[in-house]
Amino acid sequence: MDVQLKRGFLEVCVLKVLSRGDSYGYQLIKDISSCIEISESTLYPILKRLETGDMVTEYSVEHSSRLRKYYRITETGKKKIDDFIEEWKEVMAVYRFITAGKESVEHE
Amino acid sequence: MNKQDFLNVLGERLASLPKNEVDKSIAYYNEMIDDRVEDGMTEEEAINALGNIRIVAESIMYDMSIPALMKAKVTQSKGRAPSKTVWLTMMILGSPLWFPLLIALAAVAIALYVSVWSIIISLYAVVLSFGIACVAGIIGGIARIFMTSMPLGLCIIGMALVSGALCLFLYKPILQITTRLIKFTADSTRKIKALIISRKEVA
Repeated sequence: MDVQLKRGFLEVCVLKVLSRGDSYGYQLIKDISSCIEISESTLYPILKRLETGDMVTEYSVEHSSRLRKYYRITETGKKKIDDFIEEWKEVMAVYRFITAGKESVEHE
Repeated sequence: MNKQDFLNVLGERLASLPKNEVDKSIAYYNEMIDDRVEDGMTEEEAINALGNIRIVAESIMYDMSIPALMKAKVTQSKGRAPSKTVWLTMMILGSPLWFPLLIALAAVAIALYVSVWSIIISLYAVVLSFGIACVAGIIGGIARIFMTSMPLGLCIIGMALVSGALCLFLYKPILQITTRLIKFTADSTRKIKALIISRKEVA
């Protein structure tokens, strides 16, 4: 998949996971990996960018004598998810159009 | 490689970045390794799972925007106001542009100044030549009367007197024109100076 495209998807994936509840780095990777491949080095810049864009906020929680960073989605972040869904409705329509045509050819 | 080695090497590779960025990056990967170990991996396995450390460092470096990287560089040169350095750099870099322009403008200004003065001088020369012609004509005319023929001599004296009349006639208007020209050059010079001075104050 195109790198820029994937990065955009991953941002929304992180936001979606956070919309279900606050989470931390490693947990995010585990949750997202079920849908799309993501590594720590890819996640780090994404989290940074979401934070600069005010789409998530971060806070620290003590966990077994070390500090763990938690991320929380903001209203801006939630809006980004909605915008993504809106944008991709059209893409999905085009996808169905193309695959529907293909199927009818195969039927012949 | 153990966790501390990994983090040390990462810190070295990120050394050119601002300190707070380096600290944040190290904290992030520290947490990642700890979480994986907590999940049951060994430190070695956790570090391998992160991949090549070079790629890890690069992903952090390349994510920093060019303005951010430049800002970091500037703030690193402790306290030197960016604007002054930037200004100086731009002046030097731009000098191939503005220096020839400055010279061209100066040349035009000089050319205008010289032409104005040439006009003034030539106008006076005209008046003067009429005057000289008058005097010369009268002398020559009188000489002619006594030497060769009266009519020619009288003719020359006549033309000399016309010349003299033109000289007196033109003297005043030409004087006015030249005064105005001189004033014009003085005014223009003052206006140009005002432009430069007021610009400096604004800047």
